[in-house]
Amino acid sequence: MWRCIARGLRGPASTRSTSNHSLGSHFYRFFSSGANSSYTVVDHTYDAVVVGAGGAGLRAAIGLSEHGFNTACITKLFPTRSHTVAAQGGINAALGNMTEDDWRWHMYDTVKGSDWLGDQDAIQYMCREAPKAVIELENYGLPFSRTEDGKIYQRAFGGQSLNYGKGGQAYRCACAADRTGHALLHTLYGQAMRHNTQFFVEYFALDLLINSDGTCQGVIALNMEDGTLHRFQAASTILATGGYGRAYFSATSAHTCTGDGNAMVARAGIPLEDLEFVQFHPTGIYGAGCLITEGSRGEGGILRNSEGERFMERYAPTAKDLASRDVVSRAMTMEIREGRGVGPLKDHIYLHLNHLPPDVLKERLPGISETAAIFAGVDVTKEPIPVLPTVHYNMGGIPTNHYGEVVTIKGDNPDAVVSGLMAAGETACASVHGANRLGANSLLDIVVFGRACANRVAEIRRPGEKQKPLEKDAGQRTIAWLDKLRNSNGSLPTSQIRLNMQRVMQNNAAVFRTQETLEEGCQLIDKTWESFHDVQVKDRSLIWNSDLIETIELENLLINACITMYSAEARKESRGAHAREDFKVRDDGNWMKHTVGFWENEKVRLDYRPVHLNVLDDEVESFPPKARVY
Amino acid sequence: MASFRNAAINVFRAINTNKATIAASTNSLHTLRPLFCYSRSTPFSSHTEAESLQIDLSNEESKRCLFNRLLYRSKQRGFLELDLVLGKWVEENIHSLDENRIKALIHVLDLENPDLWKWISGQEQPPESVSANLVFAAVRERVKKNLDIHSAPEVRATPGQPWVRGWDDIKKGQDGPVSGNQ
Repeated sequence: MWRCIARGLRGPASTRSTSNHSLGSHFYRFFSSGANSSYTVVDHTYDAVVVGAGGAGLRAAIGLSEHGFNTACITKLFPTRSHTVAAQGGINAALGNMTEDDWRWHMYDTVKGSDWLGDQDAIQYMCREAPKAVIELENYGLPFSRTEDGKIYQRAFGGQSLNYGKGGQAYRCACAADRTGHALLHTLYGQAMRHNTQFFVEYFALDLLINSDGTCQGVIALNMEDGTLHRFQAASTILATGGYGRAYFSATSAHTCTGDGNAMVARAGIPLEDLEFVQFHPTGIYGAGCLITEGSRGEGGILRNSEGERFMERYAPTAKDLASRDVVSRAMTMEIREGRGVGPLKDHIYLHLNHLPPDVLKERLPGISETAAIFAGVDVTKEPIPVLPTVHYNMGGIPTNHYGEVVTIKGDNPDAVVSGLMAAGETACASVHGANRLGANSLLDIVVFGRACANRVAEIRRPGEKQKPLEKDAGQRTIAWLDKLRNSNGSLPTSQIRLNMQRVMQNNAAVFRTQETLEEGCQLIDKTWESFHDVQVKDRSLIWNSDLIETIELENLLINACITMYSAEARKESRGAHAREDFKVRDDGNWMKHTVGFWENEKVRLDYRPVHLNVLDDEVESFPPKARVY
Repeated sequence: MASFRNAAINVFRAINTNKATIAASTNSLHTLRPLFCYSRSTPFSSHTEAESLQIDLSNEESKRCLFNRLLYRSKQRGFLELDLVLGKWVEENIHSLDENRIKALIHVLDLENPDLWKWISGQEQPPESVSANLVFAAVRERVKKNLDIHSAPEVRATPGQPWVRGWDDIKKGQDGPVSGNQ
């Protein structure tokens, strides 16, 4: 049994001197005690380093390069393999191509969708910048779908309205056929190449390099190909590492979504914000996570429990299986928790389509039969599809202001900027999605705030600026931690601990939340974290050691999972995606605030920071909270 | 031209790279010895990578590295459907692939996710060069077999008709799409 090495920030009073000793072109090979292994460390200096090469990372990198900053982009995947590639919905912007539209109406819908937990200054910024950001993408060559007269085609999406909710459906979602995310990635990647961004592909970012006064000076990363460690020193570090959907058993996220940036921030003593707000789709295929459209229930599909009962009749007597997705998701989870789930573990629900006429399946639900066959091994004309509520977005993440700067609580300042550190995309929490993300705002968030980070760097930094040298021990504790992890000799394989974590999160912190489930969840996730001390890593290599990479990712997921569970337990209200059975109403008096979760000595400590109800200027007025009916 | 660009980039990289030292523990043993790391060409492009990826099956270590790398790229597509289908196939078959099939796998890994998924699942017809790829054919055959066993022809989508997704479910109504809740 070993314990994670404590890696808190040094206080500002540290008297450690900074070594200016230069070693020229030579370096030392070090041998860690207790193991016949060595670590080669290579240093790089850039004006800016971006971690993650998905939509937000690429957009930030382009902007930085356009402003003349020497920029490195570190990514564990090929740039065009980021999970952004799966985004199909499109990008919201009030272009007004289909009907009259106004960014203020988009702002209203976003604030309302956030259930008033979104920061209105950041939402204003995002919605006002949306048309500009989309036009820029068009100029970069993104192949948007077009209207007959050549304008960018826009379509309807749920929750989008005109005239502050009074004017009917808005058509605000710009897309590139059915592959907007993919088109975005390729457009941005091509643009980044044109600007000579330096890519470090298949490098795994391990930790931030935070100096003794709390400034971020870069990151330390592992080159998976040759096992070398790399310290990237930069005046600006931008995290764009995506969500942490894989903390749950059922998720639409690609397997790369392991919350690495979130965990790096948490290990650095900076809190994570609003992790309790996680968005679910009711019907993901059990064990796979691929979604079955709600349209299947619209065409007559029926959910049944282990007793064959059509249980939605009990929860929503009128709407039944057509109730809204949150009602359906909670009902499914309640059936499972009460022992009426199906399957050997009684942990999922059956979706019956076998009574539907073949032509309905073929013509009105094309691909459903195939998806069920491929991912569930089920013939929908004979058998039900095993489904359960499935994560598809994390609203919470690294707290940032509307410039993309990472903020934390320092003394009585709830918006203290962490010098040198920024974040954008799903990993960040601006907070524009608040308690519930509006459909098609996720790609917008990615583009607007990736862009905002670059613009902010250009405002406060100059290319080629001299940087304070790294402290002599920068990254040292990370290397010691890596060495310890690589030589873990416990009894539990990574995959087993991961599955335990995923089941705890799915069972206790998915859509059905009560004090009982969440309290139990806190205890169980703590036990799962404790079990990580007994992890076993069989492969000792530093080169393409997927066992080691998955174990690092597991620690990252566990940190996200613990903070999520404790944040959800503490919030005694229902708001947006956080619906509690025991506190059914939104409570603006006590809970109009952001949860921040610190990870300290392997424990979660919660604090709170105010929601920004203010706007940036007089172009729009703040929207006061309005009750939301569930 | 390409080699000149790569050389220039490597010079640029060298200017930004300083060798440095750091100890994994306070009781480390020091040895001063220069080691000049190979610098792989960048910026990355998938085509370049396919060409430059060395296939060395001559010893266990280089085989392990290659297999782990290909498995990583197969399971980490960023696209859940491919993570599952391609990742599983490669995990089950990689140790029995000969050099030709490994090259074929590398070419499959270079394909674009939305296209690859549509071709593997039979939503669209792949180009001839992809159909002829042995690894693609094997993965496609596995999927096709699943479909033949578990999906009656009368309920399958018409070829070319887009499959419905769960991503963008909205309530049906005026201006609703023709198929399901797209």
